[in-house]
Order: sequence, then C-alpha cells, then structure tokens
Amino acid sequence: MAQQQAQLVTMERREVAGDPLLMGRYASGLAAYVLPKAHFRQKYAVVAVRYGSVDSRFRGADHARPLEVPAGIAHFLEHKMFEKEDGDLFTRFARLGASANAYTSYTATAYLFSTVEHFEEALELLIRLVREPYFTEASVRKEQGIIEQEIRMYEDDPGRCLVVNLMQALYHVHPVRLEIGGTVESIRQIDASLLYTCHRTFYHPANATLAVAGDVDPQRVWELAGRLAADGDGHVVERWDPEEPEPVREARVETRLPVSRPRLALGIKDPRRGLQGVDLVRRELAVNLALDAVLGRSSDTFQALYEEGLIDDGFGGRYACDTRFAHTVIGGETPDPDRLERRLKEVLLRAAERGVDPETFERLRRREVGEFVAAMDNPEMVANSLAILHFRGVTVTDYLDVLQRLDHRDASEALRDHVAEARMAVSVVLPDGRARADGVGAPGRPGGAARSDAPR
Amino acid sequence: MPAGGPARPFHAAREPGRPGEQGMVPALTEKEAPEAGYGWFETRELAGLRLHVLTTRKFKLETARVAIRLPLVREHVTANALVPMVLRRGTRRLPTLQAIARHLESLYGARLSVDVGKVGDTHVIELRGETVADAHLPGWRPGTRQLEALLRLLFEMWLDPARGPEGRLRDEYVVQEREILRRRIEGIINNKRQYAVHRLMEEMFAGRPFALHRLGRLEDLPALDGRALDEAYRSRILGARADLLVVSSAPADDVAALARRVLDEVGWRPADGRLDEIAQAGPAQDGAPPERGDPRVVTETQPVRQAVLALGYRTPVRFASPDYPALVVCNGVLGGFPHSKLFVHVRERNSLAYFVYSRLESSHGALLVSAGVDPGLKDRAVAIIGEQLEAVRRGEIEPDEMEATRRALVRRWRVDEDDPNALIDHYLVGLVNGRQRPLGELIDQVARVGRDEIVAVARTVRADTFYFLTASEPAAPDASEGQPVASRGEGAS
Repeated sequence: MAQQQAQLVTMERREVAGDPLLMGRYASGLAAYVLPKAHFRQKYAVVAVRYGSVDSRFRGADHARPLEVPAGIAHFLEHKMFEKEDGDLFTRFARLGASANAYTSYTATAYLFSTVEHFEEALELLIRLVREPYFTEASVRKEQGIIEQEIRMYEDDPGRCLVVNLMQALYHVHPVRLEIGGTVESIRQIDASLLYTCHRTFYHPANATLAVAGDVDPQRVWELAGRLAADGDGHVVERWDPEEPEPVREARVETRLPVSRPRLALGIKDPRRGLQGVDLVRRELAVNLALDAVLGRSSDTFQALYEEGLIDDGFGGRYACDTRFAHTVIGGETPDPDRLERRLKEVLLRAAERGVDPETFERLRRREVGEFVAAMDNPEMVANSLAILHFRGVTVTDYLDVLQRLDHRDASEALRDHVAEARMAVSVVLPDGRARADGVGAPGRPGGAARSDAPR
Repeated sequence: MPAGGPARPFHAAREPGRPGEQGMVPALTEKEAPEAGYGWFETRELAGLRLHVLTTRKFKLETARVAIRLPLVREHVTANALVPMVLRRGTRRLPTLQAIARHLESLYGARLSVDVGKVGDTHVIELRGETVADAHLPGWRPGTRQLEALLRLLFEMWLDPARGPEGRLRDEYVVQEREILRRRIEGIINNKRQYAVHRLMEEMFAGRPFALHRLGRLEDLPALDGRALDEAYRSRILGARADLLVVSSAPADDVAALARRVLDEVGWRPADGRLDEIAQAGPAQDGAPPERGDPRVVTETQPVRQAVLALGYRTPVRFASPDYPALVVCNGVLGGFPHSKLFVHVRERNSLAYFVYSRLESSHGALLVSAGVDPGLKDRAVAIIGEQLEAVRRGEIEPDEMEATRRALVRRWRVDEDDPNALIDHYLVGLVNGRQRPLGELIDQVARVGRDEIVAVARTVRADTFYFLTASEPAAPDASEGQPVASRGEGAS
C-alpha cells in the first residue's frame, strides 16, 4: 500500500520567466514542485500542510462528530513537531549546516530549511519532521511558556494589535478573527492527545505539498518525496466555517498602547467566498491592481494624502484572500485617524463608481509582471508561493497567465463588487501617552521613565 | 507572487539588520567565483566617482547603489539623514513622488529607495535602485536599456533634484520630510525589540559617535529649514566622492561607459578633491573597553506585556583583529543561531523566552544579547545568560556545537551570494573598514578556530551595560527578591 502511494503518477514541465518548473503528483495525492536554479548557492525546501488557525472546527475520518479545538492549536502543533523521542530535530538540521524554521498562517502550516550543503539529508529530515508526531504532557507544558512569550511579544507590537483588532471587528464568527497563535488562556487547554488528533487529521500526503528551489537534482527530490507521499490512507477531513453575516461586527474598534503615534487600519470584508483556482487568482489580482490604482504610490490619492501629512511611506493596502475568506486591509501611521478614515472611505466609494482607467491599469500590470520576474531571483519566495498557490489549486504559471489576460474592466468590476460601506470596519491604535521618545538621541533620558543605577 | 499574509514563525533567533551590524564582513575572492557564476567587484575610477561592478548572469535583476560615506558626527547626523529623504521626493525631470512612481511602474516595477545606515563611526547615505534586466522582460532582448534608465534615475536624484524658485531644494519638501523624519525618530520606541537595542547602544557608547541613531536627533530638526538643508546638500552630498556599486549582467567596461555617459547627460561635475577627506571616515576608534567590575544597569519602564533585555558586553577584539574569526565563532556558539547555547538554555530548556540571541558590532568590539521574557523572570534569564557565557569561557563546548556553528556561518555567507543587495552590503562594509575580509579566507579561518581560541576570546568579553525595558510592576514573585541584576560570573577572566 505505502509502496503504491509513493508512486509518482504524473510529471509536468513548464517554463516560468525563463526558469524550468517541474511538477510531480503522487498516487496518494501529494504534489511536489522543483524549480532548479542554476548557480544559486542556496537550496531551499518547504513542506506545507493545509492546516492553519482557521481550522478550528472539523471532522476527521475517525470522528463521529465535529470537533472544536482551542485557538492557536495549529501553531502549537508546529512548535511541537520539532521534538522527537530521540531529541530535537533543530539540532540535527544545524549539524547538517541547514537552517530550519516553520510558520503557521491562517490557512497553512509550513516547515522549511535553507542550506548550501547536505541538501538530501536535510530533505529527509524535513520529511521525518512532518511525518512523525511525538508529544508528551511534559513537553507540551514546556512549550506553553515559550508560546506565552511569543504571544506577549506580539501584544507589544502595535502593527499586529491593529490587524488582530480589525479582524475581530470585521468578522462576527469566522475563525479568521482568531489570533494565529491563540491566547495565553486558549493554549493552556492544549494537551498531547489533542495534538495527536490534529496531526492525524491534517498531516496527510493529499493535504500537503513540497516545494524545492535551488541547484538540486530533481530526480533525487522525486525519490525522497516518495517517502512523504507514502502511507496516505485516503482519509478526508471536513472543515466548517460558520455562516458569516455580510455586514461587519463593529464599524470601529480602538485601543491604546505605549506608542508614539496613532495607527489606522481600514478593513473591507469581501462578499465573495468559496472561490477556487484560477477564479480566486483572478479575483486577487483584479482587486489588488484596482486598489493600487486608487491608493498606490502613483495615485492622486497617495500624492495628496502624503503632502497633507496624513500618511507616510508605510501606508499601503492589500487584498488578502483564500478559499474561505477574503478581505482588504488598508492603513498605516497617521496623525489624524478620523480624517484619514473619512478620506479613504470617500476615495474608495468614488473609485468603485468610476472604475479604473485603461492607461493606469496597463502601467500597473506592467509593474506586476516585473515584480513577478524579480521574485524568481528569490528561492525562498518562489518556493513559498508555489506552496500557497498549490492550496488554491493553481501554480505560478497560471498566476502569470491570469495577469496577462486581465484588463481594466475586470479591475473596475472587482472594485465595484468589493467596496461597500456596510462591509468596512476601522481599527485604531492610539498612544496612551506613556511612550515618550523625545529623549532619543538626547544627552538625557526619556522623561523620568528610566533610572540608571550606579555600578555596583 | 501572492503574499502569504500574517504568519507566525517558529523562531526569530536573530534580529534583522545590516551586515555590518551583524559583525559579518565577508567578501568573495576571485578564485572561488567561477562556480558561483560570477567574479567579484571590479573597480573603475570615473572622474572622482568610484564604480564597483560585479558582473553575473545569475540574477534577473540589475541592482545599483550610490553610497556616500560621511563621518558619523553629532553636528551633521540629522541633516545627513534628512537630505536623502528630500532627494527622493522629486527630480527636475520627475518633480513629484507621483511622477517618479509612475515612471518606475513603466519600467516594469523598478524600485528606488533611499536609506541611511551606520557602520562603525561612518554614516552611510544610500540611494538604491533595482530593475528587471532587459533579457528577462517578455519579448525583450539582452541589453542595458533598463539599467540605463535606472542609473539615470539614481544620478538625477543625487545630482539634479527638484528645486524651488531660488534654486534651492524645495522648501515644501524639506518641511514635509522633516515632519516625516520627526515621526520616524519618535517612532523608534514603537518596536520594543529594536528600541531596547538602540537604548543599549546609546548608553554603552554615551559620548561617542556610535551612540547616535542613524536617523539623527529630534532637537536638530527645528533648525533644518530649506536653507540649512540645501547647504548640507551642497557641502556634503553634491560632489562628494561617492561609490557607485552595481550588480549587473553587463561587463564592467560597458557599465562604466554607460555610467559615464549618463553622468555627463545629468551634468555631473567631478568632485574637486575638496570633499575627499570626508569620504575617508574609517572604522571606529573606541579605545580599550573600560575596566569595570559589574555592569552598569539601566532600567526603563513602560506598560509592556513583555520585558526586553539588551545586555551589552565589550571585547578588545575588532573586525580587523587577528582573532576576529574566533570572536565570530564564539558569538555563534553562544547565541548567534537557533542551535546556540542561549536558544537551547533560555528558550528550549527553561521556556523563558520566544526570542533570544547574541550578535556582534564588529567595528566596535561589542557583543550584545537580547531576549523577551516575562517581567517577573528577567533576573532568572539574566542569570542563565551569564551562566552560558561562563560555560563558553570554561571551554564547555561540544564538538557538535562547534561544527554546527562553523556550518551555519558558512551557510549564511554563501546564501548572501544569492542576493545582489547582500553582496553590495558586504562590499560596502569592507570599504568602510578599509579592509576586505574575503569570504573564502574567513571560511578557512573559521574552520581552523578551535576550542582554545574561543575560550581565549570569550575571556576578553566583559559585561559593560545591561539595559532593561520592563513593566513598572513585575507580576511574578521572584522579581521582588532584589537580586543584583549583574549576572553571576561576569567580569571573571
């Protein structure tokens, strides 16, 4: 059975911006990608599993009923996968000269390494990393302390607070409103048996992908990937998202932090959900190009807001989408969040009526093509994009195809469809008056907050 | 390419920064270059402008940077930071941000940015650009049209900025960018991890140039009006003997001819030698570390959820010292990587932190350790950090730790060869320090570093200043014990 699952059943070769891209699919459903980069020193590999923070309610093959799990468990599982019965795999990667890491997003968990030597041994280790769960109650408790500090670190990060609060204002019930890492309280509910359950349910070849970029021997990658493809017993997981109402939950949320200046994020919840493949990519590109036309650096709005001092270089907007949710987040630091909010809403609503003109659209599309080509110089970015796009049912060449076929009418239409005041929310972070940086660089020290002890 | 959106990485062992601030100054040697698909930078004199070109077909991008090296001094630091911000607002040909942005979009998403950094006691002003090479654009043939357009933009930004009616830099741009700079300086406090490191540097190097923030000082801003800034621009930036660093698919001679032609068209008047001396700002001159017993402790409170420690140590070993490679390995064993002692002991064994690392300021002989911990547990973390440094001093280093550290250093340097901007960064740090430490040489040296050398160099490392950013009322019990914050084992040698 395992032997059969590990068979490579299809293999395709495409060309992307002058580089070859090889795509293989195994009997168990695993997809693998290899982008050979001649002359590059770095060899990069990522195994991604389609399991993220939004998968908070699901039913696996061996569950009679749907299971509700604590927020942050996908991320917790990611941390714990590095520990095995015979020790910590991190150290093994280090011994090979490879640098390993992992990350968890709303929709995926990814394990990766970068190396210049011993690539094949490191890839074997990466495969072992995701395939072999090993959890004990003691090691779970130990990790709670580390993750608690990770959560605290983000709580002191104003940019992160701004977005987390925005998600909670935009969404009533959809799990994208949960923090990826969970909360100090939610992670205390996690135990070893729950981690085993999540691993068994989601870490399955058909629910995973491998992407490699660098000067590697593709044949060896196919052979090694066979081990990742093996043992798929064909089980499926059902995931549920609760019915999310169209209007936002709260139009405005505000918090105070020890920061120097206010920040504003304006969110727009997209009514379109459930898009897949090329349709999803088309939507993503159309909305993003439209947003760039309206608010991007070459727009009249950016120029005006910048000259008025309402925004700075950190200002920007991006439409983020997946098969299960989609929203835009626009914002940055500003001296006057209320005024910026009014201006942004005005501009967006007006642009939704007027649409995007053909000349602007062509210029922005040209930029997008250039950025796509530039990204091919970055093995890490390419490999991660391959993994993300795989879970949307497409690959990077489809992305380029869609980009070449879009026109300004698509962008105008997407904008009209996306922008509506009832689906907008703003999140504001205000200074609490307790962070004063006016002593930075000055001979003295910030107003009274610091004390300097004499040498003991 | 689609962006991944927010994600939680497993570790953030090291803070991102410029290579000079990481204490790594590798450079490639000619002999190892061919297998990588390129040689090393070749230098040409272009009437006062030094051009350094690395030719390679490896990248789809053309990358170019104008770097102007100035002494890091209190009187000029703020104006030096502000000038490039004003330059990037517009040129005579493209007088607004919008006009530049549109032009960049037409060039298939070329990028243009300005930056200021500090390497040792040198303030580096940079105008940076990159664009996709002709050969990689759909339907285009190999050539230098994109590179030419990029160089023209960089030169115009540097030499032919938008000017007001009096021929000076535009007043309104100066006023607007001064406000942006004010916000950026005030905003240093918003990123607690970077803020803590900055504050440590400020305390540790009090009275010396390196204490200055690369963005300058708030109190200088009011005096920087259009006239003052234009004077700073004319006297220090325009006509300075700058370095032009290019990573391109075109041969060095072609790039030189192209650069010369575009410079002529932009109206470049070569530096007359008057400004030569300011380009000679060299590595830091700090003298020996002070003989101190316990470190000086600085505690600052803010309403934070997590305390950030930034512990500063000094060593007489510098970038140019013979035992510099041993210091690099020592730092790697201690805290430079996720396999290092600090990560293993502070994070993995004691669950005290999510991030903990050490790094070098190689031009200054400074080693700093930083971690984010529960405010009530900071003394415990400091004690463990001290114990780990002590373990290195006692030579408690497993062969595995040595090997992993050597390999990790080699990997980091090699991976940088895949990034044109990292290549330029390394080369620039070598220029500032007046000494290139070729990568192949460093790799060989690192391979020869043994335990004894690490122990010897670790024994020169002394605690100097400990900085804590913490909450005003510690929550956990062991904070109230009144333990001295100086870790055990400090000062032993």
